Parts: sequence; C-alpha cells; structure tokens
Amino acid sequence: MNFDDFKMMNNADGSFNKVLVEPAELCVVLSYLKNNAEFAFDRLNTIIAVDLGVEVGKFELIYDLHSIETGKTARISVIIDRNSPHIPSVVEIFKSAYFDECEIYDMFGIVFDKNSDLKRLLMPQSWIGYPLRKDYVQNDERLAWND
Amino acid sequence: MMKGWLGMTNQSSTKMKINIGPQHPSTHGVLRLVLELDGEIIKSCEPVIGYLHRGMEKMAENRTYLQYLPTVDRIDYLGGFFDAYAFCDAVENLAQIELTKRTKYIRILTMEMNRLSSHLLWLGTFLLDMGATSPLFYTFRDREEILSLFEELTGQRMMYNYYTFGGVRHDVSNIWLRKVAEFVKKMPKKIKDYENIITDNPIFVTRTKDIGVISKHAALQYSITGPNLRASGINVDYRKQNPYLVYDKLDFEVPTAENGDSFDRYALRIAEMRECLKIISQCVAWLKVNPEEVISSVKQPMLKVPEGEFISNVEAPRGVCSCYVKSDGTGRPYRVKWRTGSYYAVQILPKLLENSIYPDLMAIFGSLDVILPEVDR
Repeated sequence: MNFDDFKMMNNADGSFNKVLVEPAELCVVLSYLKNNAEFAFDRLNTIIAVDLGVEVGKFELIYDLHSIETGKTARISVIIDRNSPHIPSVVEIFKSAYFDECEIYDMFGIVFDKNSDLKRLLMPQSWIGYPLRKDYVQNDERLAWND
Repeated sequence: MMKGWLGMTNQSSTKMKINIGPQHPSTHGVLRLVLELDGEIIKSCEPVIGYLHRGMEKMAENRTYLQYLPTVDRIDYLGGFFDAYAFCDAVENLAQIELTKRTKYIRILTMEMNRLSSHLLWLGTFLLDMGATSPLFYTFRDREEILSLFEELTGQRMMYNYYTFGGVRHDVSNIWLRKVAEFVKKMPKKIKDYENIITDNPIFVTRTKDIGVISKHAALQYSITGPNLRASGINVDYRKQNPYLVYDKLDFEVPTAENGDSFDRYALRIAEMRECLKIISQCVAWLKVNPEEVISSVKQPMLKVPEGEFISNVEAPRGVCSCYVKSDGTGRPYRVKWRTGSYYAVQILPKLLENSIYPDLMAIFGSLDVILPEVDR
C-alpha cells in the first residue's frame, strides 16, 4: 500500500479527495494511519455509505478521518459488491464505528464481519428491507409491520 | 464478607433490569435506557435509540434542494441554523455559489446567537434534571430574548428556514442590530448571576466533580466532539482549525478544561457563552457599517447542482455537525448523510455509567447535552 496519496491529500480548499482501498486492506490502512505519528488520524469522524445504483451493482463506503493535531482530513473509499455486501468491521480500531456500522447495516444491509453485535439501530427490529437502498419500495408499511 | 452498598451483603444482592424512557422528562426527548441495577449501582446500560427517526436522509432523495432545505432545521431543533448552514455550505460548494461578505457575517451572527440560546437551554435543563428549579426560569428568561430577536428577523422562534443557497432571506436592519447590541450589553451580568448561583454551590459541586469523567483517549476513541471534547483537555474547534465563513477574521478564544468531568463540561459551556457574546458584538459592529447585497441571485427552485460530492463540517453547540451531499447532476440530491455530535455522545454513555450510582445518571447524561432528534434524524 502506497501512503503517498494520504500525504498529498488536502481537503482544506473545499475539494473532496479520497483514496481507494481494497476491502481486505481496510483495517491495516486505518490502523497505520491512526498509529503512525506522521499521519495521526486519531478520530473517525463518520462512515458514509452510498448506494451506487442497481445497474452499477456496488456500494461505496467512505471513512472520514480527522487528525486532532493537524486538523487535516483523510477520506478512504471502499467499493464492495452489492449482491454480497461484506466488509471487515473497524470497531477494534475506532470504538465510535459501532453505531455507524449498525446504522449502515440497518439502512443498507451491509454486513460488517467481526462486529459481534450487529443489529438494527434506528428502524424497528422487525423492519423488512433496507430503506436507503435505491431499489427500496417506499410507503410499503403494511408489509413491513405485519410480518 | 464484603459489605456492599447500603450495607447489603454481596450474597443477597440481586440484579434488577429497569427501563428509563422513552417517555421520561429528563431524557430530553425519547431516549430509552435499559439499565441493569445492583441495588443502586448501575452494572450495565444499553441506550435504545430510533424513537424519533424521521428518515431525514431518505427524505432528501425524494425532494429538490429547496424543498429539503426547511426540513434540515428539524435535525437539531435547538440549533437549527447550524444544520441549515451545513447543508447550504455543501450545496454552495458543489454548485460554486459565492457568498457576499455581509452574508457571511449575518450567518455567523445568527449561528452564535443560536449557540448562546442552545447553551442557555442546556444550562437550565441540566440544573433542573439535578433538582434545582430556579436556574431554569432565569435561563429561559434570557433565552426568550434571543428567540424574540430571531422571531423578528426570521418569523420563527425555533425552525428558522432563514438561509438560502447563496444568501439569507432578509437583510438585518440597523434597528434589529441595535436590539442585539443592547442584549449583548446586559448578558455578561446575567452570566455572572448564573455563576453566583451555581459554580460555588456545594450541592452542585459535589454532584458533578469527578463524575462521568471522559479521558482524552476515550474521547477520541468514541469520536466525541465539541464542548464535551474540549472539557477533556483537547483543544479542537473547527472554527479555529479549519475556519469557515469569516471566523479567521474574528477575535475569540477557544476555552478548554482539564478533567473531563461533568463540572468541567458545565464550566466550559459557561466560558463558551462569553466567547459567543464577543463574536456577536464584533459581527454587529461590522454589519452596522458595511451595507451589501445579501439576497441570493440563484434561482432556488430550479437549482441544479453539478455532479460531485462534498462534506461540510460545522462546529455546532453539541459537537461537529457534518453534512455529506452527493449530487448526480439533477435537481435532487443523490445522497445526504448527517453526522451529529449527540449521536456519539449517546454511544459513550454505557462506558460512563458503568459502576456509577443511579442518582449520578442525570448528572452525567445531562452534562453531555444530548438532544434526541439529532441522534435519530
């Protein structure tokens, strides 16, 4: 993994730069960026999930990191397959990721491997479907509540 | 045999599960906590959220940018200007809309007044949660003055819908600015009054000192931001670190505390109120002498945002409020994601409450300044 991209990254001027990372490498990259004094991205601001559409067949996850000392931000983008949405959990590295991962599971149905207590967070536990997917049928409440 | 709480032996103690909320006066909305108690000691706590979920992120995908704008004030109803600014900022950056300088000053002025009113409400309700009734009336009296000023400016007391893409809805008048200046003049004495009642009050101090301590490490691990983070001794403020609008031209301090306990979070917010007043008076002085156009020339209902994505970070009263907007070039956002401070403050609750006693629950939870619409969105 080449970390030069992160050194060059500067989002202060209002641009949105992100570095593409393979799902298998995600945990290694995150813990390197967190623990290496050169970067010290010690706070995970949030995880953003985006459904890229049924035709594309991919989900995108953006990990938004912030360095307390320098104020710099880094964004890691991970693309995963829509049909078998699996990605390693990062709760071990950043505890704050637990709610984020549960919410993304709730809204997109993305499964975070090794997250021991993955559950729906905002929607009722009995909810059927994943609301923020682009192919979700809205106003189908009858179906969702009377299972 | 070891004696436990209230002289009960460990053998005879049985664990009890109780629910607090979702309808409970001091949970500031609809937070539900499932507690496991051993006598009076909290053994574990599980926050259950989602009772106020309105699908703000899904709503965005079905509405045009202008149709979505009034709804974002409802994400944090005590700090509506911050959410509206975060969304406007993201859209303005994507659509390359420039702001006039006066617009920027008006936005800062309204946001800082909003921060002050939000902190005032927090102060009153925090003390009320702990059993002190009178501070609520004092703080609501002063908050009411800010709300009246907002009502005069925007027509609304809480959900303002005042910002537009590239501007604000009405210019501020000199008469209104004079009223703000009068308000700012009498506020320091009021803040002094609060401190006289509260800061040295032995009951308050014993109930909050060394209670609910968030260490630096834990604060970063749990992504705590805003006043809660600064109370733990980490000096991070997006207004200083990545200045947006014209914060770099204004003179203000970022107060920090050291211990990260409930008392420090109280003291820090009081200090922040004073800084708000400083910023407000600087903005008022600037606005009085610099007339400029503030009504946006952008055609709002037809606004088409070019393809792209942007994340805007705003230092809101309850921590960093981030708004991610992805556009596919049409008149509706492709995806909007909100990141709010309270969401992460709720997540740290189980860690803070573990092995503390039940009466401390409100002294800890209240001091975090959690507001539930922001958590559930």
